Amino acid sequence: MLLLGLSLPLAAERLHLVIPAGPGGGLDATARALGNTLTDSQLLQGVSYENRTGGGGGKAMAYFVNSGASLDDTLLVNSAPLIVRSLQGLFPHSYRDLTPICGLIADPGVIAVRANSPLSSWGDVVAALGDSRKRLFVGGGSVKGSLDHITLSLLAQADGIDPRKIRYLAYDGGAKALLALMSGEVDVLVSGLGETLAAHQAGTIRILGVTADSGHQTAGITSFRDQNVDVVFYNWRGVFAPGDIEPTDKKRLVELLTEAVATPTWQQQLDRYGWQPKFLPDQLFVEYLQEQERQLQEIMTDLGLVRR
Amino acid sequence: MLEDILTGISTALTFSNVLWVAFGCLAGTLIGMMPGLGPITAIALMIPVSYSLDPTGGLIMMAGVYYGAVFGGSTSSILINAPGVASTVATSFDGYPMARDGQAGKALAIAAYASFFGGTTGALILLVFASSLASVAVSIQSAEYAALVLFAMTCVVVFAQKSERLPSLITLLLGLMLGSVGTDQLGSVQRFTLGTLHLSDGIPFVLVVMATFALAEAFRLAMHSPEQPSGTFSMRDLLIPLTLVRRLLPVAGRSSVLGFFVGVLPGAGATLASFFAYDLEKRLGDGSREAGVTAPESANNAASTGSFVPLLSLGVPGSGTSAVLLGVMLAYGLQPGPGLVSDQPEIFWGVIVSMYLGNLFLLALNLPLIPYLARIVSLPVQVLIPLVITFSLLGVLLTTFSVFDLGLMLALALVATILRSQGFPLAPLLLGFILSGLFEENLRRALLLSDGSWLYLLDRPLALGILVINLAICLIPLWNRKDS
Repeated sequence: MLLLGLSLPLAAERLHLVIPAGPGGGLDATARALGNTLTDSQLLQGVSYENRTGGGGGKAMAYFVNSGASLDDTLLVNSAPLIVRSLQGLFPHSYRDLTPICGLIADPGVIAVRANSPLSSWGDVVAALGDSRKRLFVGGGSVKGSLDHITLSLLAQADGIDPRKIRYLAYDGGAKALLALMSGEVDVLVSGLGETLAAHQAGTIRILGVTADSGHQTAGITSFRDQNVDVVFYNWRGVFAPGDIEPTDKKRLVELLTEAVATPTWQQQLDRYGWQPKFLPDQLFVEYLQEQERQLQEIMTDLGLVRR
Repeated sequence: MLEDILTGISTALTFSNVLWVAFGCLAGTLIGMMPGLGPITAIALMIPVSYSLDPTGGLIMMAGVYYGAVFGGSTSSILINAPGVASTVATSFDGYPMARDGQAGKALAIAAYASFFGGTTGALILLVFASSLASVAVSIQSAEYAALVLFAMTCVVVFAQKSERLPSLITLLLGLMLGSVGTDQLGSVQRFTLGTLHLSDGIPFVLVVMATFALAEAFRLAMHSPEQPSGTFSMRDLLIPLTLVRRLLPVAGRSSVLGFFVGVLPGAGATLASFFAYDLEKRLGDGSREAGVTAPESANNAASTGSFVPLLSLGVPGSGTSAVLLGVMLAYGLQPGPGLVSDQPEIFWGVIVSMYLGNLFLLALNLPLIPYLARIVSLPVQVLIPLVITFSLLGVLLTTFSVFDLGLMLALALVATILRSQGFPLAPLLLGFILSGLFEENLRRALLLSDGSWLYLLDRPLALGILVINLAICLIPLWNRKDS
């Protein structure tokens, strides 16, 4: 044990994680799962957490950008809405003001219906959406112009439906949107796989497709790509360091997290929460973010959410 | 059924699990007593502790933290008019005046007994109907929610004293306006945010409640230097006379059943439940202050038990607090939902049975503290006022880390103090603020569903029923006028 401790190149003893959301949500769970992995596998002595809510994540971002120089061994946990909101101009910063360390997990989007719904495939949904006499309502867990709505728009557009003509109803969180689908208020749900997989497996709802590279074999869910709808879109979660971090510190943090995701503890955390791993260290993460920003910019311009 | 309950009893009564119930309840009730801190904070603070326990012990403890915090929440409402969560706001309406009249001990004791009654009644209903209540949770839709919230707002205006009806309506509308600050929940539009990030998520609840209740009251005490509440505080306060018990028992019974079923509905369950229970007892019951403390406290504790229904039976959290609990369950590798009852009955029934034990512990923990807590009221105002101000500032700073919010709170407290000195009641303002988001969101969704037609609200029988009752109580003032 002692030898191992000595052989680590000046490993940070502690790490502080800033979470731009309240306790209990997905970002909070990601941060705590990562922290547990780091301490349980004895890569670090301790991890502390700070929930900085407000401004749709903008306050945590402003805090991180403005006091970056004084933050040692502090990481910001973030997810895809970071890109959506900076494109919308809701806050003045973007991921470019931070140093991307790595992507950790990715949750693909899903389209789901009630188990007894007459709509039995994505094709049926498209047909109903295109038929103006059928007043089809789609519910999602966040406001118009945020991830759920964008996932739906990408899918609709790929099948030649004008996303602006879809009747989208926003709910306060994926859980309430799921309850609205169960209560029959909406006919179709757009959400993330993580939040809906359990209900699908319990047989209360049926997932018609997932915006991942490939389907979920064990649960019998096919990807949209396999249904000839070319949409791949993930809500990633990853960690960032302050913008002006020293290259050596950055290298050390990337190495630390590379070690962390290889541990059995991390695998255990992924299984528990039903998260899909998507480890993208350093430069790969930067490229992924650039590609997603391009994809989002395009659809958001079409939706009229971003001016060209 | 009986076998399940026996499984639950044998799980809940193991030595370590009894210990975890006690520990969870103690931690929850102490955190809940702090002004500005509520169940969500309590649970979040205890998450790291829960990781080191086995799933059953951990869940039993976390559930204890939850209802323990709801149990303790009434303390700061009654003693210093500073409700920590929306669901104990109604408790302060009658509880705080009782405390200022030297009846702090009695008010706290009634709140403790009422909480106990609500908690155990809730657990009993949960035990018997747990798996068959799933349909209740998904039975009502946006139109009904909007009608229910409108009903709560109508009650607070119509049931006010005659001279206070118009001022109540005005402050209710002010509250609705305050609640509309921030990002619009349906269309992502920024409203009244003055272009700053500080306001883009809206004004935090703690800030508004501390400004309009705790601070405004502290300022009033400072300006009027009122008489010091006298009276001795002893264990005798804990004994409620039999005649009073006989009077309050039916109140607690009605409020608990009402509270449980409103609590099952996802959304603002416990808050709506406590307001409904308070209004019903104040107008249709004997209207005494004792009943005014009993009703909301039984209702909010029963509702917090009721909010477990969507989580345990459907696997979907119905409130912010149960969303945090869902996270805890997932961290243990448990998937709440219909599968939990059949796959791991010992956990499901163990947690429910532990709730009885927990409520007994809470009663035993809280009662002996009452005579000591009640002395806070008899502190000289020169000490009490700075204490209240410090706690209010800390409560806001610790939840939002924002100095801007402190300034906003003081400004709001000043406006509130002026309004109150001019005879405008502040409770409707707070109610309007709490319910505005829920009201707007559901009303607008209902209208989107009908392509903008208001007649849609009349198409749905349940929504129509609630609206008719609404209209009927609006006519009460006219009826009374004819009488006199």
